[in-house]
Amino acid sequence: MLKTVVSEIAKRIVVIVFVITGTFLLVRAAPGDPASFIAGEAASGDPEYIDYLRQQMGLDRSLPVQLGYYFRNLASLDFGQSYREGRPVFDMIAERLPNTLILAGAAFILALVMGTTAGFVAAVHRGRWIDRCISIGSVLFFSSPYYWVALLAILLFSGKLGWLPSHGTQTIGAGYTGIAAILDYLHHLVMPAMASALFTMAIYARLVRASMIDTANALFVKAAHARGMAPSRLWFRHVLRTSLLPITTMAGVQAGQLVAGTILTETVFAWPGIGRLMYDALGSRDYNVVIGVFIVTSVIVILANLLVDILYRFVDPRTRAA
Amino acid sequence: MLIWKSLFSKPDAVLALAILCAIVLAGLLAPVAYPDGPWRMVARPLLAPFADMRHPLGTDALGRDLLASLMFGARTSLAIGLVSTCVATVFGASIGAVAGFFGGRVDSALMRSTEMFQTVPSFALAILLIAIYTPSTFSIMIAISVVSWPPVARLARAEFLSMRRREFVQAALLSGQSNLRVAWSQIFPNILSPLTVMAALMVSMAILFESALSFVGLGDPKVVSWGYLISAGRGVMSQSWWLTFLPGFAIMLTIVSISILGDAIGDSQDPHFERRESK
Amino acid sequence: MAGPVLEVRDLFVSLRREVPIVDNVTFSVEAGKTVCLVGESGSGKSMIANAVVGLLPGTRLAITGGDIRFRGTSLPELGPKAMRDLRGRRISMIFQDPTSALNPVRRIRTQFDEVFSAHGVEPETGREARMRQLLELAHLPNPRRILDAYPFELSGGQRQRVMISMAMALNPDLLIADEPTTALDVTTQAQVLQLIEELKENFGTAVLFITHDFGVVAEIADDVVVLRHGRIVEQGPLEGVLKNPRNDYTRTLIAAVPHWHPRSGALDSDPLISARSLRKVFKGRFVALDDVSIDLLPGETLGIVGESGSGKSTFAKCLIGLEEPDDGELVVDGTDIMQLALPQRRRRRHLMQMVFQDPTAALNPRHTIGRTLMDVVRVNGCPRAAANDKVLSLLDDVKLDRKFADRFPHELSGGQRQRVCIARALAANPRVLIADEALSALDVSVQKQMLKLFEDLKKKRDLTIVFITHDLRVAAEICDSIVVMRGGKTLARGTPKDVLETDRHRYVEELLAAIPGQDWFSTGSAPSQLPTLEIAGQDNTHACQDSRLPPG
Repeated sequence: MLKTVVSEIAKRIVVIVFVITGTFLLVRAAPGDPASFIAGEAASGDPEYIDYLRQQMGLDRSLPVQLGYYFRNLASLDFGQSYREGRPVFDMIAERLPNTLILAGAAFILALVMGTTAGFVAAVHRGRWIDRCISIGSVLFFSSPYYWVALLAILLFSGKLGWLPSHGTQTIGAGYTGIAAILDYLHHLVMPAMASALFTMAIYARLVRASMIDTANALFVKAAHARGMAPSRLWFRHVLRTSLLPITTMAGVQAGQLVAGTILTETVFAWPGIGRLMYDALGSRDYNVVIGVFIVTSVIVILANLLVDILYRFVDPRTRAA
Repeated sequence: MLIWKSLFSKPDAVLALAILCAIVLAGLLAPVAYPDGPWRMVARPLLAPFADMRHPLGTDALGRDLLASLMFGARTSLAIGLVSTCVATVFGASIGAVAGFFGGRVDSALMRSTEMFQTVPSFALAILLIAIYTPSTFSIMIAISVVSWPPVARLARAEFLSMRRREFVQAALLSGQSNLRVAWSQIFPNILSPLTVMAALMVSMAILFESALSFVGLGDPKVVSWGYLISAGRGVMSQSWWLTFLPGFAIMLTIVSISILGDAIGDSQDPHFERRESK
Repeated sequence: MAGPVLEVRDLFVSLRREVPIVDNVTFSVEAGKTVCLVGESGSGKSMIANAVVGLLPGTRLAITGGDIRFRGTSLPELGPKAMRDLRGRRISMIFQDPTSALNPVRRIRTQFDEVFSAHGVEPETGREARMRQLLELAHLPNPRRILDAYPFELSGGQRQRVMISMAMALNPDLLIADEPTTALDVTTQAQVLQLIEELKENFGTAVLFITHDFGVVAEIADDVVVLRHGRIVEQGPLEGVLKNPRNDYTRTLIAAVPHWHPRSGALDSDPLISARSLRKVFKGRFVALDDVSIDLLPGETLGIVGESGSGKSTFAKCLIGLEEPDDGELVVDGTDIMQLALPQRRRRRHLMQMVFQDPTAALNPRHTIGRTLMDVVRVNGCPRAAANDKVLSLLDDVKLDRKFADRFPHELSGGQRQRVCIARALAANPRVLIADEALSALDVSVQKQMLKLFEDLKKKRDLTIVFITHDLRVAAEICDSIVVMRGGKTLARGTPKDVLETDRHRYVEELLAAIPGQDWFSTGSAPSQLPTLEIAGQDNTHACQDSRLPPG
């Protein structure tokens, strides 16, 4: 067991090295001079900055040496400077990361709970009207760009109804403290989290439904039925439990996409996380920031997947024994 | 053909097909209907829909015809969706087929690299790729292909692997048919239906991707796209909500139709194994 | 309590309320008796079982006529709650495939315990003790370990015993057994049959036993109901049906039990293919072949017999190249092909062709029969112009109508599909035909015809046949020589007469003793060398006279 955990961790380290090397090569292969590319909008006006970049990237050395520099910098959490803000990229990311993690985490829990429930209900009542409603709902959510749904939600819930705040993490000028500040934060979190969760929720609902219907047809369910189990026991103890296992890995992959997807929701709701940071940096072509956010996001996703895989191995007796 | 027959027996599939045809037609006819392109200012800004029947869906903040923009947007979305799906499917399916057919070391090497691509968050990777190679229709297609081939590869590999163990494939190999021939004539037709369903899903994802990229400002600045229209309408959303609503609705309609069609095609291609009473 | 436990009267089960799958079936099962429903696939025998427990699959099947009475209560009229109380408590069921009949991700203890909690029953001795006691009754050593295990940690036979223990947990009045031994090896089958018999004696349970094998019927039945296409063709006490079958179909089924005619007289010539000290290890652990040496003489039929895990299929795969042995020589026509490069090896092996177990899986569902054969005919060097005639003549060879060339596999029956598979093997002009359990997926009445086809083809085409089977009697009847395998080793070899009669290995003895229905279908085993019918009859009456515990 320990051996598999270690080998899983080793695998993820390889992937992280791959991502960083890939990013490095992409930037080096960019059209034109990498330094002026990274400098972005500063390229024309600030030769001093470009020189600084050249030095930092070691552009006068060979490619492997440059890669070595790159890894050394990243290992010491040096993601370079943001030209626009004149601050280290890592600091900018670090101060916004908690917001993103809270948003993604909330969205993930929402998606998981609502998606699984919807899929479960649909599977139990398959072929009936409630199944159809859930199926139609999940197709619609799956098919709609969620930043668009977010915009419509703002229009409705903050514009028309005035129930929910449309942007930011706190009511400006309200000066809440303590519990009130937390409640205010949560109030702001509702719409972004819902909007981020919709797409993933639709996918979970479909997966859970399909997997449960598959399991429900298995012989062991019929055998349990023939032993006189009540339907509720059949569905919960036999079907749901067994079919959630294969979904776990899919859930991990989707969770990763969800983190990346917060770029859109953070943009719409002006949520001060790393997604919004990336959006702003794209607008001003502040590429050190863009690359930094990309690497951090990738690492988070890879770690989330690692967690899910290890969890899976603990939960499924068949892999646990192997 | 059997597929058509089974499609036409399902009302939702027929409706989806009709909607999709209309959208394709709109995209094809855009240059004919609006020879001047979508960028020209043609009327007063923020004209409401149905106020002036020469501009049935009204105009945007710069007085450009929304219907024209939507029709040109359809061109962009469909073209990018189709091309990147083709590229990703061909590439992914070949990788998966080789891995699944030969197995062993070839398989584990190919699948390790596929897994790496799959663990990287695709939207972030696409943004990075396009940011580095300047936004253009071409770079968007490439970026979407790069992030969407791994699932195809995994699917094709899994199918090839299970087919490879099937007895009819083994029998064909034993009878003296070459690997390539067996892969093409015995295995490939049998994995076509899962691949089709997958491809339909990928077209949807590609359209969503493209619109999201345009929304964050990474669209091709030379062409109109639905995602760009949504982000352009955002500023005036409170008074002219339809400028945001309609492009998004067009995306939704397209993808719902593709999903329904994909499922219907997948269902109709299932091989009819005779299922006898289980003893 | 007087009267039968289960009474099925004029039962009809129909698909979409139109097509009857079960057509006017009447029979009854009394306490302490075993009634066998016998039939081939499509006979509706499983449907009857499903109808009794109220678990007809899907929504389109329904009971459309007749009545099922359990201890006088009409089951179709019971509500779902009342039916649920009966299931598992008074009517139990066991299934063919014990692997998929247990939840793969829950421990045996949890699943077993559920039987008690679902019915709110607290055994006097406590659940744990009761579960262990039941497992012990099923001859499972170390019940505690079994309870702690997950299903995948048990063998097939162990799983089926667990299923049976669970079924008997609440002393049911009726046990329905749906082909419970079909997926098991013959020695395990014998033990499970004996277990069911024992439990029936101890608990006084009525048993409804579903099977296709008249050997099994002869072993355990008191009464027999023979079904075909959903109708009863014959029913009555075991002895009557076996001694004087009135119906032709019953006679076919009885005749389908392999006879006991071990052949003698060996061929003598240089081997065509000679495997020497083959070794194959899977995943570095499981030794599938351990120093196996087998010679194949030209023109002979070689039977390779063994239970699952014996390595018989692995050996065939190593011969033909679906697996490569880790070690050893494989001499084909005087050359050790293991020394050759892969493409040459493949070419040398081309003189062998294989017929697989499951003809459905062995045919591409998207190709017509004609196309399947044509592909093989063409790659084996037949010119385009002559190919079509060649395909048709292949169909003639396997006695299939030429019109089948335009059909798809799903339009054919199992036996017809297997004929196509044989034709495909012949299309490559083999000298050796390897049949890997080629009969076991087929209905018993079709198996006979298929054996005859092999025999004819062998004569006509001068074939050498390697016949891989789990059934000693089949091998004894048609093979010139036999190899018995167990655990990757060869245990015995020689002519059927030598292996099975003159010079019996202890394991062969075990295998023979395990064959069901010996009292009726001789295997040359010690007790039944005498004419057996009368003795068997007495045996059965003796069994019936046993005093019984009151039910429940």
